[in-house]
Amino acid sequence: MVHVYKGSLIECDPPTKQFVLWISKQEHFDVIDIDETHLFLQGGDERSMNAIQRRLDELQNENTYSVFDKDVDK
Amino acid sequence: MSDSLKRRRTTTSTSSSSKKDYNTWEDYEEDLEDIEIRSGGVKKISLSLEDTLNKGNLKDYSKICQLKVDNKSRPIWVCPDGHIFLETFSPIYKQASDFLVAIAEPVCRPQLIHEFQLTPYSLYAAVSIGLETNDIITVLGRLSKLALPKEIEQFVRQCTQSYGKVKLVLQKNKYFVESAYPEVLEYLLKDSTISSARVKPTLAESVVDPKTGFIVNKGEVVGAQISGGLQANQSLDPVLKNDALMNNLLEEEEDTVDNSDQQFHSFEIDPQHVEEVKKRCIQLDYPMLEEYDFRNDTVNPNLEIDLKPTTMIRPYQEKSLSKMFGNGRARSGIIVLPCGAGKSLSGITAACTVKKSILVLCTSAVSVEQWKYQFKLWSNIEERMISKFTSDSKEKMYTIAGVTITTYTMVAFGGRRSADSLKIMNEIANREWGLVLLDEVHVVPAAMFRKVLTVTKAHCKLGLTATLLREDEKIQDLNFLIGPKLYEANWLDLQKSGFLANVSCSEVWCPMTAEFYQEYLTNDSQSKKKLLYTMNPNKFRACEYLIKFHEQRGDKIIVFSDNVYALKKYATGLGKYFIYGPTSGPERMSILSKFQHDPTVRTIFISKVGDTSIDIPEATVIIQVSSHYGSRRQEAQRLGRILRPKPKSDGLYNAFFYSLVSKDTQEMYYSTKRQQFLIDQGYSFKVISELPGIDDDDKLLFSSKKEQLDLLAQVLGEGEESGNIEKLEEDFDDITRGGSKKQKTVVNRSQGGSLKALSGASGDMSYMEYQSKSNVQHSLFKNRYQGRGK
Repeated sequence: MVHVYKGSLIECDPPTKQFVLWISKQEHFDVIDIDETHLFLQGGDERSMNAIQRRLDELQNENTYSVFDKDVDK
Repeated sequence: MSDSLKRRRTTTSTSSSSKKDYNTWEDYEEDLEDIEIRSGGVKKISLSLEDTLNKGNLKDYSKICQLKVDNKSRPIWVCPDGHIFLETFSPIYKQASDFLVAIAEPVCRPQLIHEFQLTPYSLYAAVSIGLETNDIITVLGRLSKLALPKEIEQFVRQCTQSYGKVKLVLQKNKYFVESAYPEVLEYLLKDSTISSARVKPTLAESVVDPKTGFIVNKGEVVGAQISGGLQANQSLDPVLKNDALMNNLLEEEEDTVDNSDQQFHSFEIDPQHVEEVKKRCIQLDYPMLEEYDFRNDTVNPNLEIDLKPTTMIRPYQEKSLSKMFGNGRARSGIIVLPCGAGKSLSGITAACTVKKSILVLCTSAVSVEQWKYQFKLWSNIEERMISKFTSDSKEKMYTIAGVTITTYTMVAFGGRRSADSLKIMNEIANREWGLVLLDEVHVVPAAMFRKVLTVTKAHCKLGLTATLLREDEKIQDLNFLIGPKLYEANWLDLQKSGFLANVSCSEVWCPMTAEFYQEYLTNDSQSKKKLLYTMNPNKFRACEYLIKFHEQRGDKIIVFSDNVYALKKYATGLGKYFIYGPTSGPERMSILSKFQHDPTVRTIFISKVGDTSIDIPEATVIIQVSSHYGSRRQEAQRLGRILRPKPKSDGLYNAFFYSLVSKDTQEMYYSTKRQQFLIDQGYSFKVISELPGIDDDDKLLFSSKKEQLDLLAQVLGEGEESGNIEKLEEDFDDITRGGSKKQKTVVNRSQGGSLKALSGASGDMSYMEYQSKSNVQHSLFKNRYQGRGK
């Protein structure tokens, strides 16, 4: 029997996949683990994809040092 | 706003990445025009600039700042906020750069444009080496493309008018307050503290001004003979005189700098009150410069020491010392030279010039040995005149004049000492030292420093360091504790002239494996997180890959890891030797000598103990596995291990520095932060995101999933403390450990011990605080974590 799900397919590298899985747990997204680099976000729409994208950006920013941070550090 | 910032960044990157050498300004300009025509982007930029102007965020300076007609031949831009930008492709770059180093702090010195900043301290230093307010302003004005901003002129006047006008001179063991300006002395004498400390002149032969009662000396300027037969330069560098254009620019300056016809007025003060007078003068805004007229000091015995005839001093070492002995006297201050550029030789040359009793203070027992070796290597001093004073070896001091080498902790130690060491300590405290050499001044906490400096009576203090930099911004204290920065070398220039190795710096990005990253995300413990990204199997493999690659090339490799767990795991996994805190002295020496002489031992693993002062000239490659958060100093010190000049080999680079970083973790943040100091010195870091062929090599450890999972299980099984970096105790002398034990017994016995020790005010307590910093989160980063939590 064939099941049809509506949603979004996410392709990413293995660590990012872990990250997406981690936030999905917090935000209660329904995710299907396909393989090492693919995830399927069940019922995923633009809003949830944006949320994931935003969290990823936050992670990147956190781990990036910028010379302009100097002032913030002080 | 952020748009314009981005744009600024992109434009700088294009200009610095272009490989072309710009010999003249015209080349550069042509190129610029090319770029502008090609991209057609000029219009856009100016448009958006107007937009921002309308919003009122930026100010339009184009009408205030008028370029001089001949601006092309002038090399610097002076901004109203004290920043100065120097074009390195200008024909008078060398002269302008020498001048700017003397009056301003170098901020960033990459290939084409150097940035400097005027600060009160830098101007203080400028005055102390003999520059005067008007000279600074006129020369700045002449070099500048624009008319000098009024703010700058005001700033320079404000900072220099009072600085350096008064000197404290120790002559024939009497303290004199000296100044070329009698009115300043009169002003000072109005203060009751100072006038009560004054001693009326009694000597008949000294010329006394009848009106004021000041002793008047004709300024006798004899160029100090720096040992080794090199004539010291007076105040400003002779290079300035060579260039015709510069000569023109600086003509006036030389006239005024030459102070041979100047008169010095002075009055004597009571030695008992020197400390109070010094304090009072700072309050009155006339901080006193301290100078030592070692040539005319007949009270203290001379030390027989000279450089060996075979010893060659490099030009920059000579230049730095000429700043110290500029007018025939020795002045206190700090010399900043990169690691591997021969700091010890500079210190020893200074010692050979002063020729009095010398005290050398260093950070560890190992560097005590190395200093002794250096003294014997470069100078003709007799071995019996050198004495070491460490917890293991308490040698008797040579009675007349000699060299004593010890550590900061030994001198600052506040607890009870053994009879031997107490005797030597008393001698150190009672002797009048001609010169105190302070090695690695940046590491010593201020409280300990004050202690050391009050215990030792020294005519002159010379601080040596490679990185005048602390994460806690306490570096400014050194200005008052020792003296101004006398000289700072430019790393890139030294590299170009072959005094430093040509290093290729790279940051290798190692992706986390899925399992490790999952743990990293879900684990709450900071130290576990740290251990997880350090033990990342991909990093391990990258390390092994690089070791293999460089061993095949015939390089000698040092792998640094602050984390002891990782250090042991890596070293035993790869079958290499490793050195860390608990490794005993003889074992260390044997491993190091194997590394130096045994062709089969190409790689060693070292923990934090190898950061400073271990001299391994053979090493050409450094791989950094784990490090101390964002410490810029550590990064620079580690790079320094391979900076000693290497014989030119085939390629462009002859030394390699790799920093392995786990992607998508906090390590990325720290890694970039750590690089900032080196980037400011003109180094650039390449990012390597993939090592070619690493995935095909199954022989590397941890290639299979099973191995990786086993490693993860082991890492998770480790206790909390494994994630922390090593606590270093032998960084300093063993005496601190013994000291804290002794203190305990003191507490038990109700009478013994000073109140100071009981209340924790003794010297080593301040040291303990410093020590604990290494494993407690740094305050800077604490804020960061809190910020993140929100």
